[in-house]
Amino acid sequence: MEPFTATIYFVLGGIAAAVIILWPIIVDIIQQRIIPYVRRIMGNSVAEVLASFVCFLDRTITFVRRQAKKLLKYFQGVILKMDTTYIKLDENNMSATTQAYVNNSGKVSKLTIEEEIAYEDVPADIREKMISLNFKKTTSNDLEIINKRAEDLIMEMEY
Amino acid sequence: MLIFIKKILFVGLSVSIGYYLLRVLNKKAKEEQKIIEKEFKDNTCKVLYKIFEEFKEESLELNKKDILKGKLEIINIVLPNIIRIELLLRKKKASFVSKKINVLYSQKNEMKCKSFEEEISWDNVPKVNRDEFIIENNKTIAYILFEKGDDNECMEKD
Repeated sequence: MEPFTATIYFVLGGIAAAVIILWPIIVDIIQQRIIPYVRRIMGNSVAEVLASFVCFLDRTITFVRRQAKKLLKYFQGVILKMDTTYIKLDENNMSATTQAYVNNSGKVSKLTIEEEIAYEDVPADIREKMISLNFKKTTSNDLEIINKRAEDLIMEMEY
Repeated sequence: MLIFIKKILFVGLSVSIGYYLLRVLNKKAKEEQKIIEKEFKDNTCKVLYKIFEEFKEESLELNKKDILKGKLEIINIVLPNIIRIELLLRKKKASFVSKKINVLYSQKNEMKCKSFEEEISWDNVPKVNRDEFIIENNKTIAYILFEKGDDNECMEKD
């Protein structure tokens, strides 16, 4: 993929995500400012067309928001425990072992992923922790981080 | 020239896929909306039943099934003190709508009001009400669910 196309996809994806998260605020602004302004400048019929279009978008976007919330809550119920252990191999490389306990319809299964990653790809807070405490090995609670992000996202959607 | 045609085709294809996706999502949303509306109505009826239970000693017998189904005409007979039941939807914040149920009743020749208020997320407000907020630019929407003496149907619009 060309860098230009990738940038366009990235920007469009970002805009779509922002619209989904901030949708109630966008609707509020359209409802209170834009539609009355259009009604005043262009007349009732144009304002009605705009309002109908916003209603059409509202139906779809609120549906997507509800599905996203459901998905986040479902994820919280499926992943029971997830942590990653980082071990420093040399100056440039680290090994990352992720262990996850997954609730598979009542049956708990354990997943382990081992990979070697470059030092710069390690999350910044892990690097800081390893430098400040002079550790060669550290563990991060991924589930806590993911849950916090999911809750922040739900809160952003609702406020 | 070939690159230009390729780009036009690419944009056209992207727009078509986007439009198709929007149509599919909209169809799914319509189906889900029925569930949201039912949940909203059921929740309102449950709250009403809870409020009515407080009037129980003055009433004859409260038919839970009828009230949960939204048949409020029965109040005329079993709860004669109740004069009017209103449902108010007020947009408090952009993401939240306050749902308030007011039950007006008379006690010893005095008018009293019992209210129940809860906040619901914008996503959980029925589509009809959301559309009304957008199109009419109203901050508050009021419905009369029951008025004494009338043979009103549940959820009749004011």
